[in-house]
Amino acid sequence: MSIDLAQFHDAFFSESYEALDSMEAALLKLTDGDTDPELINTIFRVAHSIKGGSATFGFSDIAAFTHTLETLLDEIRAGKRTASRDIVDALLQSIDVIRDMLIATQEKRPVTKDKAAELHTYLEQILASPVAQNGVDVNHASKPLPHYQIESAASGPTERNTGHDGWRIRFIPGPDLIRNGNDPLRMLRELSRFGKLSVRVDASRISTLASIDPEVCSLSWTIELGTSATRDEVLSVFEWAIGECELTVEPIAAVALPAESSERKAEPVTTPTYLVVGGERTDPTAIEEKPGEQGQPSKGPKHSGGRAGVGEGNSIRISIEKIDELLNAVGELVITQSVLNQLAAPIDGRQAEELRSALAQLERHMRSLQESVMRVRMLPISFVFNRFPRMVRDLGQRLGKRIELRMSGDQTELDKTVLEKITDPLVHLVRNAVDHGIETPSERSTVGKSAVGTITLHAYHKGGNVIVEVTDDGRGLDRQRILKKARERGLVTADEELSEEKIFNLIFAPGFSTAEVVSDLSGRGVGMDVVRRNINEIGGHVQVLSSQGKGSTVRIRLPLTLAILDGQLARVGSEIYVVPILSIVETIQVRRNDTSTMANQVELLRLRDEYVPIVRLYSLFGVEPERTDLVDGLLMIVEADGKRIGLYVDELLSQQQVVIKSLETNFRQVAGMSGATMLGDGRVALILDIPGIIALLQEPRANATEVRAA
Amino acid sequence: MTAGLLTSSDLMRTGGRQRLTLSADCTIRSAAELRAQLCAQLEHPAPVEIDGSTVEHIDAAGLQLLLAFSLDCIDRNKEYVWVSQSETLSDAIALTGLAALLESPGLASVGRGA
Repeated sequence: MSIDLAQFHDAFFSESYEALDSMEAALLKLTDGDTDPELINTIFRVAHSIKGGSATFGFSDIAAFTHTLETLLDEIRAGKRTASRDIVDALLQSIDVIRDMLIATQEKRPVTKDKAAELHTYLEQILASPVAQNGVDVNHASKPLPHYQIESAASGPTERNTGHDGWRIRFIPGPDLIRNGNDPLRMLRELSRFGKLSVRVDASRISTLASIDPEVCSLSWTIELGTSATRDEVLSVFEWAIGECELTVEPIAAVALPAESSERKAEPVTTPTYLVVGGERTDPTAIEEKPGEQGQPSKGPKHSGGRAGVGEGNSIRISIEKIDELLNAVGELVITQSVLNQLAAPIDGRQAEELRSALAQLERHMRSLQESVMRVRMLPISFVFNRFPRMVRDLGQRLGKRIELRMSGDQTELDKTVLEKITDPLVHLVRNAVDHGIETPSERSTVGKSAVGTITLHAYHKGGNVIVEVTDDGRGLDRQRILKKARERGLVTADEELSEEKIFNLIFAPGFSTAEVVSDLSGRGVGMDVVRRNINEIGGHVQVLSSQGKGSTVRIRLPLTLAILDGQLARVGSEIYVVPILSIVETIQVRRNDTSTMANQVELLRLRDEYVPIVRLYSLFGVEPERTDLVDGLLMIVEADGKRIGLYVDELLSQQQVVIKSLETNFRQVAGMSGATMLGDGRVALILDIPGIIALLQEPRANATEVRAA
Repeated sequence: MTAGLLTSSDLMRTGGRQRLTLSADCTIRSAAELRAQLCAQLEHPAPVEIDGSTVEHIDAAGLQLLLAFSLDCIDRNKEYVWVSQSETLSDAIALTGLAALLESPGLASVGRGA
């Protein structure tokens, strides 16, 4: 009789992901010079347990890979080998590879072998290489670290150029070139043997003597080499540095080559050899960023369920569904309790007093229960923050920038779903800070800043919300450039004057990017608008503060939970609607002279320096109104996605916390509504979806009918 | 195996100027020492004479340090002059296209040493 092990797979996967995270954290500590033997032990234990688990379940690929890793770690643990920087880099990449393999296995996809095989070979080379007396590795790899791949053009190997004068070479050493034993000077010397050299150096990235890292080559060259040597001969000069530099080799006087040249076959210009970073490296968080796509427990918080207890060994795993059921049940209790309150209100007599007092106590207990259950779904934001040290380190290295990352408030808790949805936006914002915010060391020195830039992540609770701030001490936003770009795109008219806040908000417009060069990381202009939309979708709010030359802060305000909402009740006719308080700007009484009607029947309110479209909710929702004259009712000015509208209502009622019930699960999705709730008197009130209503305004006819029918 | 430890004779004062003699090894292996040497020079506002006649080994790392030093001098209005350069040194400077950047600011640089 064989035991079906499949039931244990899930636990193995969850635990392995967690273990890899702690291995990564420990490795990063090692890089910073921490040589605590406990760190090595932790790392070793992780590899050991993953190896054991995967072997037990028959995941032989993972077991084999991890076995080599374990052997290497054992040597380090026994003091036979030191964890040099290259080894730590290889170990960090191994973590990525193992994660990939786990995900592939979990999704029952075949495990792609190439990267794992490459890294595996590299690790075995390390193991095979001798260790010098002082424990330092000697020649541990004949090739540089294989995480850089090369996409090389199909250039003919025997292409002897009789048709051009030589080669133009663009040589940009990467950060590890010197460290891996290469010397650009030697390469230039070898090139000079082929013929006449004309060299132009780019020294713009040289920082001050005090802050320069001698092991990192900050110089790059453009070289013209007059020679009849082949391209391959020229490339051979750089063969030991392939993977550690960006290299372009083009023939000089290649422009004139016609396609119909009889000497060559359809290859007018030799395509350059580029440094291409391997898949995972380009997007180091690619795996973690797709919570929904995989159909597996989200990797965001890396749990398959909620978390009970903060203590190390004192916790149990719970499925998220069970918690949601619990939360739902408590929500029902809250509603029933407020119904009871309402029923008890008009009753007179001494017993009524006792009843009311008991009900008040019930309400207190209910709130406390609700908060406790909500807290069960809450996780510390460290689950998201923890990926950033590695990301900033890798990104900074790639871009040649020195960055210190500071994080505070990482134990600030927020709802699991909010956490998952804030992950992508935060990653984008941090990338932006590294890519566009922080300047290169020499740029920073030029303006009197320290060569090392600082990015700070700060999370804290404030007034029932969670605030997350991403701050950098880099360039800051250039108002003039943003304004100019906005004018070019027609987002702003030529003579329109905008406040600083409005100008900064422009960066959230779709397709907007003032980056000079679109790097592969960000700057494609698809980022900030998605960031704001994602944040708005979970009921949050994002704001940018910046000081040119000094830095920027992006401040995100998030609700603590998605299960309940602080809402403003408003009456339209006999219907009651709930408007999310976070979206309300102000409520005003309209004066006749302030309104005007456009040709297409859109009504506008003149509000200080802007025009706000008016939405007659009764008309949108097909409700019989009490009042129809604008000056008789109230206008609630609400905002979403940077746009404002005015909602015309009959009367404002109370503000209260409402339990959000999904329309989708109980009825169907309705445009303009984000949910429903039950009030104390048993009535159902619909919760307005402000971004949805704004969208409806773009196509009023079709959608309004749909909404009315619902 | 590094040569070129800082000695007091390296910083001989010759009439108001400092003199800095580069060691035989100005490669990555001696980067720490070379940087210390150059940083010490930056401390003094006095002009410095650099004697590179004894340089036997140099690489991009060493050149980079010299370059950073020269840029820092420009920032601080500090003068320096090459009194002598070994062939190895001047070849390296020429090969990497750094001749213009490493030229003595304000003063004509003296030709190659022996």
